[in-house]
Amino acid sequence: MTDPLFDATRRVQRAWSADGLSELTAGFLFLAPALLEWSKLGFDKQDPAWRVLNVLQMLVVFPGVWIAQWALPRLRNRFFGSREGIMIPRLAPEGVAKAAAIAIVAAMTAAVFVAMRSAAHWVTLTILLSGFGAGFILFLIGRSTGLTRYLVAGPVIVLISAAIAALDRSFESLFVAEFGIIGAILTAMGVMSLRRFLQTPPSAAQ
Amino acid sequence: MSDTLRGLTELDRTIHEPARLLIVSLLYLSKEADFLWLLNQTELTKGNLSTHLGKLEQAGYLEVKKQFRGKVPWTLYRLTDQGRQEFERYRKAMRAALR
Repeated sequence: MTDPLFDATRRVQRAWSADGLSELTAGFLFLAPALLEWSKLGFDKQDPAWRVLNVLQMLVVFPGVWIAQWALPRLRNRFFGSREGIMIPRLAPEGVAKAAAIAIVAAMTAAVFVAMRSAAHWVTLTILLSGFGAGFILFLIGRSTGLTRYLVAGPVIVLISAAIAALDRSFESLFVAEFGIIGAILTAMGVMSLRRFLQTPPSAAQ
Repeated sequence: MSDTLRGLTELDRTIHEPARLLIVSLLYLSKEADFLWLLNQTELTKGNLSTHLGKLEQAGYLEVKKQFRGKVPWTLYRLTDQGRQEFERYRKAMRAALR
């Protein structure tokens, strides 16, 4: 007998991923900074428009993640609650969540800092690290849920990031390419899942 | 007989029943869930699910919140602190026995 939580976790995560809303949200969180970075390329750094775009970019990335975490279950319940039932996931205790957030930000900052200090090709390393991070997380989700699309998307993103990192372009252009492609992949996964979900008749339990 | 194996005889039978174990595991991962969601995830019949939820509520492991969404009754379930603790104890005992 395995831990009962193993099967339950898999069920909850699969149910959670069925409608594609999680992927659409994650896709937006990658695509929006990429689009804003692309818009910034057209302005000089002293230009007020560049500064506005820069602030917008930070607002999308940092509070965006927390807002998405809060809004996603509510959106899901509002749109699909009467069809699939309602479940509000239990988030990690506040202390644990804060510690994890601090650890992730610290690890990413340290990785970028080490890349900048220790290598002449820090741009390449930074792009590689972010791509590997995103791909690895998707692969882990795929392993715990058993969903093929995540298992495929993880390594694909790692390969694409490696290819982008090999290009001899500015950091900004590589960032736009990498985040844009990861965002597009996640959005496409979300759209396909949502389409399949809407085409599937509601559960027999109804 | 070792102490860990003897521990199996003291397992909480309210949780040990397979359907209830699934219900408690699902609720352990959530803050709260409604009847329809549990019905979809457990694939039990409505009557069967109701009976098991009733037993868990009687044991003090479940908190039931009855509300209305428009004119439709809506029942939400969440594990009580006692329910969480008992489930954690159950998992610990099972893991120790099967190690």
